[in-house]
Amino acid sequence: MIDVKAQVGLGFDPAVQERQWVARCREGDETALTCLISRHRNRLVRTATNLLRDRNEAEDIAQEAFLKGFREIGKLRDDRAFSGYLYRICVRLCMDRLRLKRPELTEFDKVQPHSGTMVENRVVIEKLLAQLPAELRTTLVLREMEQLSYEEVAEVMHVPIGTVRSRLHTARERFRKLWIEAMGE
Amino acid sequence: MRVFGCSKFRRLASERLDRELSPREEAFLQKHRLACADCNCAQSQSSIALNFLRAATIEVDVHPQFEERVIRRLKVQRTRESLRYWSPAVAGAFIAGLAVVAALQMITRSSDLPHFRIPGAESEIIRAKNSLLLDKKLDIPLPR
Repeated sequence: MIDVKAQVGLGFDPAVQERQWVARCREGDETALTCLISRHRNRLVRTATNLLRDRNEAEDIAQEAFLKGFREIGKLRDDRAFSGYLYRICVRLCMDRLRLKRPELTEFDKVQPHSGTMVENRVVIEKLLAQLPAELRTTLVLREMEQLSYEEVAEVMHVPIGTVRSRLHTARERFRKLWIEAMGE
Repeated sequence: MRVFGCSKFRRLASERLDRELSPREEAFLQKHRLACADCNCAQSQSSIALNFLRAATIEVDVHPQFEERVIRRLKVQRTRESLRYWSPAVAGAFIAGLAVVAALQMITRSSDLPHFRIPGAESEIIRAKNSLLLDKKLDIPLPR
């Protein structure tokens, strides 16, 4: 079993702690499993929600990411890489889900995003993002909402940094045009 | 009116959000902004649109039973996988067992079958044996 101090995280380096949990997880320790889920669940669900704009679907994807991650935990060469590995799985599952949904062509009424409530603004954003292809949408969300660096986005999406740069530029430009269209200008 | 260098301006304006530009690049942006109204307008629109996007970031509260759900799904997944792994062996063993039972039943049934006797068949066999013995004594080669 894991000692209480390790679980609470007092006086322990999180990276070391995580390595311990991953090692114990391989041996089938359910407590370590719970600790790993608790540590990463918020990040995974938040990223999936921002990518998919659907809370239930996001939770489902996050669960799938954990299942896939734990199933293949034995193949992981470096225990320290678990966090990034899990995040990559989650983003890829989201992208797969987004690819299944075709970009929607939405006719906007003349919306006034500034005057709208937070919920209304979110709906507008959802409609705008739905019109972007999966790759552009993912790049934009990871950079602008999740605040990931170019290197992190490149690693997560498994593409060169140059591709991230050009995708981000295209995504911002397209998003701007869609936003103007939505504003009715 | 659009002037030369608009695409460079847009690219640099986008990169400005992610990295620190060199003084030369900054100077170019400044100069182009004054010269090109379209790019100036596009940059401010882009800035507003992206702020709007950032403001729509969702901070979620994960379901309190999230861990339990994952663990439950993990257990179901493991059971399914072990079933999938062992099912060919179990099916094979079952079929082999059935074959053994069927073979045993056939053996027991064949021993229970009645033996039929054909009248006169035994005396014919004895006669044939005797003639064979006689042929051997006379060194007559037996037909092959």
